[in-house]
Amino acid sequence: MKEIMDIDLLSLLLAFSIMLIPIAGFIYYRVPLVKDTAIALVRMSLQLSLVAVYLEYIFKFNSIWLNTLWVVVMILIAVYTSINRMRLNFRMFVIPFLISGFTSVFIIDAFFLGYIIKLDYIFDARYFIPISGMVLGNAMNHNIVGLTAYFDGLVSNRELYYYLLVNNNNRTAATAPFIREGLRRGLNPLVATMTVMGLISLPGMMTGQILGGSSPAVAIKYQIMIMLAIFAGVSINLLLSVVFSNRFIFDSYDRLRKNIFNGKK
Amino acid sequence: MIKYKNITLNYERRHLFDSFSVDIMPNEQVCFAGPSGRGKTTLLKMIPALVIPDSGEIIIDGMPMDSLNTKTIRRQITWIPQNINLSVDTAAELCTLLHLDDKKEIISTYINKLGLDDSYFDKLFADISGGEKQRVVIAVTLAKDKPIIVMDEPTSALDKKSIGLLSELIASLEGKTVVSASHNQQWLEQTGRVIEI
Repeated sequence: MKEIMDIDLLSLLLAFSIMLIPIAGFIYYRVPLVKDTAIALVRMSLQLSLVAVYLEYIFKFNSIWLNTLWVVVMILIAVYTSINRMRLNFRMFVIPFLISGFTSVFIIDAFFLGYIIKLDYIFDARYFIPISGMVLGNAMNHNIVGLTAYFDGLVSNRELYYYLLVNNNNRTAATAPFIREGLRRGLNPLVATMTVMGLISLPGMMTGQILGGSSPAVAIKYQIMIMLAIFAGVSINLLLSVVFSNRFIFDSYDRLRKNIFNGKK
Repeated sequence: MIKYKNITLNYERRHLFDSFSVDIMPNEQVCFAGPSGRGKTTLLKMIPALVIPDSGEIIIDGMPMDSLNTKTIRRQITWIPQNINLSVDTAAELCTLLHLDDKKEIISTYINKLGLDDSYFDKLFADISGGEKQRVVIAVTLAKDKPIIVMDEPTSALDKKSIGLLSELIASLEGKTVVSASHNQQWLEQTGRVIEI
């Protein structure tokens, strides 16, 4: 295998110039995304630079506590970001989202790292951190889409919810159509991605592995495994987020609480 | 029996009721009447515990409405809301959501009694008039066949003939207590007792 080509710093800085095209589009159509995009680009660059430094040490020590702490921090940030992006009431959602985040990461890591890859040391930083990170990153994105559809659906169609609640005398039956729509919207993009994977998209992990010197056969096996982990992790996380949130968003009469959103929506 | 006992309520920053009391007997047909904004819908919503009074009690068949009894009480209530713009596409879909797929025969009878034919069961709500949709939604919901029927403005989109047909259908249902809210004169004349709010 050929050694991977490094990217020099100047070329990497030059790569940012491509962002002028979408930003010009935002300005032309007055899409209020210019500031958010600029902040996101700066944050991404700073965060990844810091991560590169942290990971050097984390990989070097490869300690169970340090690695676990790293994943816990990732979960906390994912939960905080999700609640903020959806403009939800922080106090109401922090517990259900934390429980669903921890549970889904635990199930996926235990199954794939312990049972499928059969690692002797399940907390090995080279596996534990990137796989948890990929599951969490995807779970956050798809949760935002799915849960927004669910909560917005309930709030804007509360007449239908109350109609079903009283006539069916069952909250589970009354929320079912809203949950279906939330799951469909949250997971549909992932299904679409898997459908065309390899045809119109070469996934990042596989590309990274091949660039890093792995054989395509090994890279593809890992990619299939990671897609299964992502799909299962995202689905479990979304389902649990809905189930646990339902314990907080209704009052003792099963009426929808008024303060689901943080008031800035 | 449905008992409103000393109900006091401030709702959405308005003082609506102060020691309001009324008894509705089993199998009675009662309609709350009065101008818009006086709280007719709010009173109806108290029966299935969608609105909880600040003080006083709603007692249904001797059972006070509280969070422990909600399920037992809602088991007896059919709720037909004022806003029939439910985000559902067809009567067939509504049937599935209400777990009424095995009650299509009785729904068909009700739809016919309200002056429509069976084709309305599968017609898109977007393709029919507001009055037709209201009749279809009422026909489907009545198939839940519970002893208390609560209807908010059931005639809001209906013409005179349809109001007559709805009155006849409601009167033909045996053993039902019907509580509605309306300011339609024809509906009020055909209701057993009118309570002015």
